[in-house]
Amino acid sequence: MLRILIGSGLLLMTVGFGAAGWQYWQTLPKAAPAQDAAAPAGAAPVVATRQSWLISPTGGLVPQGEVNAYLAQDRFVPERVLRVEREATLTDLLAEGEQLPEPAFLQVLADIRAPKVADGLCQVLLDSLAQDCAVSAGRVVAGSVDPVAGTARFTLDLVYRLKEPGEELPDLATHVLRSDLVMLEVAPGADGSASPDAALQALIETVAAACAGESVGQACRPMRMDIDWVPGQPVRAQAGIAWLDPLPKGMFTAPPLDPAKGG
Amino acid sequence: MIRGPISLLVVGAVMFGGVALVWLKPQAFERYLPERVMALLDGGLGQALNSTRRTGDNPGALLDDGADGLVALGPVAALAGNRPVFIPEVITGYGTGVGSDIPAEITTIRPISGCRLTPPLAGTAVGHVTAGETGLRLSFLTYNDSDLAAAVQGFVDRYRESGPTAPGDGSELAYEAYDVAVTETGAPVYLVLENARGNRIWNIHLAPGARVERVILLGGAHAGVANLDPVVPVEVLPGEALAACGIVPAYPPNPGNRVFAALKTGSASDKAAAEARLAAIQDRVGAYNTWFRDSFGVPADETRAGFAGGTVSIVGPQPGAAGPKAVYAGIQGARIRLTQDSYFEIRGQVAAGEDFAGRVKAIATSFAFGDLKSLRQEVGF
Repeated sequence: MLRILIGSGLLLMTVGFGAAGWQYWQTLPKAAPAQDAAAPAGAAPVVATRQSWLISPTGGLVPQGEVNAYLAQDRFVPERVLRVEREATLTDLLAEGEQLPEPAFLQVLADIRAPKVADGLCQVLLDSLAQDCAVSAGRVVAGSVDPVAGTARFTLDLVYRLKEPGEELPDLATHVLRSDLVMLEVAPGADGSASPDAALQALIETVAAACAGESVGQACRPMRMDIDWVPGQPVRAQAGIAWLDPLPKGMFTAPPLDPAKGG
Repeated sequence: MIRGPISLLVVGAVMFGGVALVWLKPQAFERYLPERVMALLDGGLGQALNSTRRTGDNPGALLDDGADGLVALGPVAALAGNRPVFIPEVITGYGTGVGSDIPAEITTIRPISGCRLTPPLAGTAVGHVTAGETGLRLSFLTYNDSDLAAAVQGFVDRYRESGPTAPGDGSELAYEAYDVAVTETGAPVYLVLENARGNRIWNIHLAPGARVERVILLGGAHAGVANLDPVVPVEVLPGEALAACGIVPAYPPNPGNRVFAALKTGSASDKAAAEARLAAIQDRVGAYNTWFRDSFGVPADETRAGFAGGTVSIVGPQPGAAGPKAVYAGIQGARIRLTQDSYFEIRGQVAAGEDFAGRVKAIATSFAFGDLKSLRQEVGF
């Protein structure tokens, strides 16, 4: 009897403490394996972030998302994104020898395989300005599947990390972050209209030209980029760029006491 | 020596069972408990556990005059004109534990082509039953590629949101039972059974001496009839076909309907909108009555037996103390004639991986090039 009682007690303790331990373990803050995965092992950060805040030309704090998009090149950030809305033919989604399913399944097939139509975009980024690129979201636009034409519209979000600039950032405390929007419209048939990849290449060149402008200061970087591509129609694209300018005369900075908006 | 721990185990098991019964409701156990026990739970404990149900001597007191229609809150059936009556007074052996019943024979029938239904013969009694949602889901379901595609999309969305998950089992596509008790014994009965939405099995329970001349199934997606003599003709006009024929079932709203509430207590603009809506409803009711009378010889609104929420309707008079009650006939072992879609399955009767959930998962996996993990599109920020 005594053995049974002791055995039951031990069993209950094992279950109880096991459950408590499991709960404790579950509530522990997670390590950041995703970040590790995003940044290749051994890859050094592009720029050591000396401060995690920036001020705008009017003296206010720059929203944290924008700061991250500009400074945090050691990881992907949601605000540094290339968003492409494009049309594609459904057969582009198929593997070799595969056939399109029944019409009822075309929408969900397109949704599941949407990242496939982003295949060439990352390569364009990697060949020009990015050291790393990933599709963070790919979806078909609801109701956009045209079974007769065999096409659909897709929205694709690609995040990227910029290549090492080769030069150190200046002292952030003595600079302000300025930004601008670069617009691009390409007529059908012109260079940059043939495909989303070509449109992206054209946009990157436009960004580079804008960054080389006289009014643009140091360390000009692309932030968010948007491309809308439909075959036979004008390509509409835009990109946000940001750079550092010296503090205006008479302005002094102090570390913020309150977190920046969004931070 | 070990009597103590065993007693503890027994007490623990009983308490666990009790808690599970209260928490999950008796319907969760219908697969495991004998029918007699389920009937006991349904009739007594089931109602006691359901706090929304009321009891009393007057069946009208168990009818909720709600904003969306009349809802039976207890064992109440609908007579013609939607008069309430206690179920045990009109049908013997009634039960609602049908979720795991397996029919003996399934025969596929097809909807009629066109809009004209065979009218009732002279001298027959027309019984008109309407059904809303009953919650009496059966063990068989039917679906098509669009249903599968929608389920795959739902599965993919959940997988993207929260990681590995199980696909839905398609329970919303299961046929739902509705019980029709026929107590009319003075003349053959021509049954017009009208479903609001979804897949419906009309389960017929006859009183001794009752005869059915013909059954008309109107509305809903797919429909069938159980426990009906195989020689009785069945004609089906589903909801889509009704709409294509320009027929829109409509009935006068109940006194507690939201349209009357808006007329009583709403703002001036609400009242104007409610008046316009009421006028539109009355137009539709008139049009439907005309079609119904032309087709079956009786008006729809006066003959209707069926609440917006309820499980049983009576065709015929309320049996007296000595009158013949209808006799309940279960779905288990029943003969069923039904319309069905591209796929039909009876739960537990299909090979592994070929049920609804299996098909959904197989399609999603195939579309994801064999790797469901790729659905996550995870990027670490």
